[in-house]
This record gives sequence, C-alpha cells and structure tokens, in this order.
Amino acid sequence: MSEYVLFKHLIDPEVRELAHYVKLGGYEGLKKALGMEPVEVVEEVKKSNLRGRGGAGFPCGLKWSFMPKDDRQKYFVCNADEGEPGTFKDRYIMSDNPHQLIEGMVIGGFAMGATIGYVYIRGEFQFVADQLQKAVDEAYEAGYLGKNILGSGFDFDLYLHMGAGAYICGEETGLIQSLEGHTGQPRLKPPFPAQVGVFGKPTTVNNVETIACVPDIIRKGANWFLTIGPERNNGTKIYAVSGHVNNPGVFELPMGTSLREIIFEHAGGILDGKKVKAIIPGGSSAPVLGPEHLDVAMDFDSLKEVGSMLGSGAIIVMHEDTCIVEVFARLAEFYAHESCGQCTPCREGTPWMAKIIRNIENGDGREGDIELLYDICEKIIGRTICPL
Amino acid sequence: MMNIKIDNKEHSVEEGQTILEVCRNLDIEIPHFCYHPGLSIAGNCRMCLVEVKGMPKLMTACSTMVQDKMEIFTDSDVVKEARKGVLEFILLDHPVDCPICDKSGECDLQNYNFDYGIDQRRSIFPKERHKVEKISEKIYKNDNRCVLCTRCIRFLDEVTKTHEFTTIERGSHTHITCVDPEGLDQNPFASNIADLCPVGALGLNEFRFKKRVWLTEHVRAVCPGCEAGCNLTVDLHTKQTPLDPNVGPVVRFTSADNYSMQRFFICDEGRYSYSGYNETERRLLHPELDGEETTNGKAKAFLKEALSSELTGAVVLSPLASVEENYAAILLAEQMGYDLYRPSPFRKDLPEPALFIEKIKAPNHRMMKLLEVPKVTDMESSDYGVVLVLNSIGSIRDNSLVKILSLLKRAKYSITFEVERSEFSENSKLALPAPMFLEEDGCFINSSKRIQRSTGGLGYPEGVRPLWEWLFGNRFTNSESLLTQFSNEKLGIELSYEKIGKEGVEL
Repeated sequence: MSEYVLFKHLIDPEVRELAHYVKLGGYEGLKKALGMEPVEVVEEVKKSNLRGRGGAGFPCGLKWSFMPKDDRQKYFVCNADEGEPGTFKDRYIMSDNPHQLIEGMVIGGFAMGATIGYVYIRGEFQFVADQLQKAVDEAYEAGYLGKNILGSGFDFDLYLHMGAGAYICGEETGLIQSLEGHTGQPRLKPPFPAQVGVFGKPTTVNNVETIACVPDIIRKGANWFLTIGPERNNGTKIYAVSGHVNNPGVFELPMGTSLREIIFEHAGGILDGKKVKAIIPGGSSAPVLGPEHLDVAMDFDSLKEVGSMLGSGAIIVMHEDTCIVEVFARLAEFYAHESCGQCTPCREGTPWMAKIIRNIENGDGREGDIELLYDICEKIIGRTICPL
Repeated sequence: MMNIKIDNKEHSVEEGQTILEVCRNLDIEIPHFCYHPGLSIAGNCRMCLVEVKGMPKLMTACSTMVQDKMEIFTDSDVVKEARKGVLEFILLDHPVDCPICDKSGECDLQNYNFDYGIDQRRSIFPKERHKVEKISEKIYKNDNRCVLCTRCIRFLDEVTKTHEFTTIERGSHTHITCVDPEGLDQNPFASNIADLCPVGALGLNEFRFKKRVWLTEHVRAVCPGCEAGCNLTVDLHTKQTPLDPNVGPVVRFTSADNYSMQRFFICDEGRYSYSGYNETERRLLHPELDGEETTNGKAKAFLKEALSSELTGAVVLSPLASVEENYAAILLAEQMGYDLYRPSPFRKDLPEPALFIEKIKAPNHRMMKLLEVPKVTDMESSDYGVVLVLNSIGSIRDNSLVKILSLLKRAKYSITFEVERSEFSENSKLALPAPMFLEEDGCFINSSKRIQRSTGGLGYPEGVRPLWEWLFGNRFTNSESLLTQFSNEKLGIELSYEKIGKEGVEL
C-alpha cells in the first residue's frame, strides 16, 4: 500500500473531526493556497494532471482555467450526486473525511474567484449530508469558511443541497437546473457552465473525489502528485468493487492498478472460487469487459484503449453463473426509468430497448431483435442533449 | 458577412444566425418541432440535426451558430438516417389517427414523416393510451399525439409569463399538464398554443371536427381588431363537401408569422372575431335611397346631383377603412374643395398581459394621424350641404358618433358608405353598400407606422363595389393604383403591393 490521499480515516478513524484532520496536515493546503496568486493555484492543479473523477476524466486545472476572470459572481459546485450504478465512493469521503472536501472547495473557490460553493448531495444520502454539515459548521467556527478566511480577505460560503433522487442530476447541467429549483433536465451546450451556469453565472462543477485531491496537491506540490500513478493519469483512485467478490468495498489505490490486483488481492477474489464472466469497470455506463481484460491497468487511457472507460471507477464483477441478458435487461430498465424525458431519442428509445431485452430474457425474443437493438443504439448515441 | 457552404453550394450569410435561420432564409427545409422563431431554443426534439464538417456529432441546426467557412450538410445519408430515427421514436407511441385529427393537413409530423420518415413499424409493443382532455373553455389536449416539444410551455412561460403548463413525471411517462385551467381561461393569448402545437396534441374546441384544413383556402390579412396590425392567416371555406356543416365563408383566423415585426402570435379576441364576418343579417348589399332599396343607376344619379350641387361639403374618413378607400374619399374632398374630418377611435382598457395589444380599436387610425386630419368633434359648424361618411360604426367613440349623426341629419345630400345597416345608413339619404374586411384588397397603417397589406380573398359580393368606383368610375382600375398614387403624393415614396409584400414596410 502506498499512501492514503483521500481515505485519511484509514490513518486516523477520527479524522472527520477538525482537530484530528488538522493534525494530519489539514487546512495546510488552504493556508498555502491563500498565500499564492489564484492563477498560481490553477497552474499547480494543471501541473498535477489531476483528471475529473466523476466519469469523463477531463483535466481539472484546465476546467478551472475556463472560468472568466471578470468580477461577476461565480459559483463552485461539488457534484455529490453519485448516481452511477455501482458507485459508492464519494459518500465515504463526505462522511469519514469531510474536511478534505471542504478544504478543496475553499481552495477551488479561491483559485476561480468563486465566493459561493454548493455541494449537491444525492437525496438518499441523508446520513452523509448530516456528517458533512457537522464538518461545515466546525469549519465555519474555526474560520475556514465564511468571511475573511484566515485573515486573507477571501470570503467563501458553502451550502449543502439535497437532490431528489434522479440519475440525470449527476450530469452537470442537469445538476445546475435542479440546484436552481427546476426539473433536473440537462441544458443545451454551448453555453458551457463556465460562461452561463448556476443562476446564469460562471460556474464550475467538479466531482467530490476530484475536489478532495486538491488540498494535498497544494500542500505537497504537484510534483508529489505526479509520482503516484502512470503518466497523464496521476494520483490515487478510489475503486468501488461490488458484485460476485468475497470482499466487496471501496479501495484507495494508485491509479493504474490492474483489474486483477483489485479484484483478487483487495476484493478477495471471486465468490465460491468461480470464474469471472464479465466486469463493468467504471459504473454501469461503461462498456463491459471480459476475463481476457483482467490485466488492464485501471486508468483513463488504458481503459479507453480496450474500448471501455474508467468512468467513476465503480467495478461490478459478475461470475460465470450470471445471466448477461438479465443484467442488460435490468440496466436497460434503469436507463429507461431514469431518462429525464426531455429529448426524443433517449425518452422513446431507452424504454423500447428495455422492452426488447426483457422479451429476450423472457424467451420471447424474435429474429432480428439484436440487429434492431444495435440500430436503436446508433440512433440514440450522440444525438441527444446530454452525453449520458 | 461570412461565406459558408450548405450542401456543397456556397452562400454568403450574415453573422449571428443559427444554421436553421440561415436555411430558412435560403428556403432550405430543416425539419423541426421544438424550434419556433418567437420562443427560446429548447433543442429537445432532435429533428433538426445536420452534419457539420469537422464536428464529431450531428449538430442541432436550431442552436448551432453559423461560423465562417462552415460546411453544412442538410441532406446527407447520416442526416436522413437521423431524421428517420427521430420520427420512428416519436411514432412509437403516436396513434397515427390522422383521419380524425384536426391538425391533419397542416401537421409537421405528418408532413415530415411523408418526406423523411418510416413506412413500417418495427416495434411490436402496444402503444400507451391517454384520454383526451378538455383543459379549458377554449382548448383540448390529446396526450397521445404530443411530441413533448414544449412549445406550449415555453410560450406560456416566456411570452405571456403566466405559467399555466408544465411537464410532469419523467422519461417516457413525461407529459404536459395544465396546472392552472382558470388562468388559461383568462389568458388573452391562450389559443396561440393550438397554432404553436406542431402536431394535433393541442387544439381549439371550437375548431374540433369542424373542417378539414385542405378544404380551405388561406389568405393573409391584417387583423382589424386594433391598431397593432397583427398578421392573420384567414381560412376561407371554399370547398363544400357533404360532410361539412354549413358554416359561413370564414372558417377561422390563425396567426401569420411576421419576421420583420418579430410577431408570431395573435390575441384571442382577434382570433375569435372571425365569426362576425359570417353574419349577414344586417348586411347592406344594395344601395338604399331614403331607406328603400334602389338601383345602381338611381344611386349614381343621386351622387352626381349631390356633387354638382355646388353646396359646401364634408367628408368623414374612417379608421376602419383601408388606405385606398380613405384615399379615394380624400381625393374627392380635394377635387371638390370639401372639408376632411376623422372620427375619434374607440378605446378599450388593456387586458393582462397586454403584450402588443393596442388600446385604439381600429386598424387604420394611424393613417389619419399621419395626414393630420382634424377631428370631427373639433368641427366648428356642422352645416354642410353634402356629407359623405365612410363605414366606421363600431370603432368610434360616442361623441364622434353623435357629431356625425347631426352632420348627416342637417345635410341636403347625406351619403354613407356602409357594410351593414346602421344608425348612419338609417339617417342618410343615400346608403351605398361597402365591401367588408376580407372582400377587398387594402392596406392599413399600424401603430408603429408599418403599412401592411390585407388580402381580400372573398371578393366583392354581387352589387357591392369599391368606393373609388362609385366616385371616379373607370379612373382607377384597381385598388393598387390608389395605393401607388397615395404613396407618391402623401408619403413621397413609391409603394406597390409587391414592395409591401407579406410583411409590410415601415414608414
């Protein structure tokens, strides 16, 4: 085991309390950042190759640099919707190491000139939200949030916002719509949130895990971050392993750890010693891998090479007894249920697919169904408002 | 200006437009449901997808701005296939009940499916069914046909800002619902959502099962309801079938887009005023001398006698009559040395929201103001030997009405030019039958000084002739020649019907 960047509660189980967090170097990054120029902070994050942990893997520093440098009100939003099936990583950061997220939010806010931050939390995460709120209250009291943070003259307010349980609100513009009080439906891009975001103002949305990486990057420097994980895919990654494994759970490991190592060393291998049949490597949106891909390095670029994606790093393992048709029927029903209903291809196409797959599963499949499914897919992919 | 290529043809276009707008101006059809020029861009129907060179995905023409050197393909195989896909998705749950749908014949979905769509259903699953709902006094909703383009929602959110509609539920269960039926009843613009609906999901109760649209003829007219000069598409009942109820000649008014004015909607008051043109009970169709029907010859003889009497004369123009008719009366006054007057138009308080509705309830009042014609109520003496009054009843204020009546009563030769039997015609010696709105081509000048042409699709009824023919015989061959002379002499510009075009000219 290298080191824990995000799961500091594995070093000190009480790290959710401010005093313990500070003992582990907490809020040092913030102090350092407040002594730098905002541009320097953005540059440091850029240099660290930190890529978005929410799914797309977009370089975080680059995203920050898109924020305009005028004096409009700006917002920094944390995407804590964690709705991708199989994903259960962000909740542990928020409940067990919440101050690291808060510190990351303040640093990000400072770097982009945003004075208001929102954490959009999945509606089902009431316990997590309570934990995070406690930490926010502590941080306000200690002067890490609020007016004139640490005497720097920089103000930052952080608000928690509970979602209402919609998958689509994990998409950043859907999230913004929901945050503003509208129905959670993605917006047309352009304009991008960096131009027109929350309440029409410049906004950056980052995933919890991404933001939580920032304090240590600033404290220890980008060069330290670059020593972890393969080139262009630096840092640690939280892998959430579920399915037919002996020891399902979340594991913080260096980016690029092989799938085999994660499943067999950390997650305890396959249930009942059976064979692997299929693996979804990055949440249910990621294309499925077979046992031949067990040695792939779990990072953005390597998974892209084999035709899948790292997504949120949620690994769903299925052993040889799994009925793949049933899996697909279940997933297709999920996507049909969660379609926001705004644009035609997804609204009409996903339920149709779900019905066809369910028919096949029930033994009522017809010749040509597979070709039809492929054809429907083609007519949906890339022709909708949002990329989901 | 920028140079772009559409379907391999070069075009020079202005900056700041979307692909769809550019194509519309070039008469290249981009099928669309959710886009509407009077509403914000939603981009949800995905029907307008086009290929743009260098872009990995198809782009929505409604939301993509044109850029210099852009190469756009509106007719490539990928685009055709995408349109087919969208139409197939929409038709999965659509009843295809065109034979009993009132939108049939002017339905975007119907037209697009003929042009770009599928001819065979691939889904084997039953369609979802919803009940047809009468959501307000004026409007019904049929969810089965809805394509969720949200035009109606955006209209009520953005234009009238009254928010009666919203979508509820999610995914394929999404549907549009009315959260404020009373508000919709009171909304003075509510019926526009039936025009806006690209399919047959929203319709007017009044028009339901009344007429197949392909059995009507459409003419473009200017609404005479107020000074705003909104453009109308007038549907005329031209082809009778045994199944048609025997309705009057005017079937309905819908709004006609006017891009120059950026106006795409009409108020409900204007929309439902069409039925007034089907009432013929009081219609004056023959000249009347002293209240008795008379021949054209006798009427002409009376007119000649009046004009050669060398008595003093007054001509009262009308804010209801067209530029051409008023100008004919002006010419007479100038020729004979008669005094010119105008009545004061009727005013009405504005509804909420008012948008573009004007207080002055007459379409051509601005012409009188432009020519600085004195008010009839400011007249010092009311003793004239010859008085000619143009049809204006119903659009003028009471004090003007009283004044005109006294003029008529005192004159030796009192002549009115009237559409219906009225207080004016009853109090004049000679009443000449006037063509009504929709029977004669004519122009109107609206409150923002835009001169627009209204088409007379119905034509003159037997016995009814235009005023210029009564006054000047064969001197003018058509109403356009009066317009040209009017614009030359009174406005100092040269206008023709062609120049005024569909959308009018700002003066």
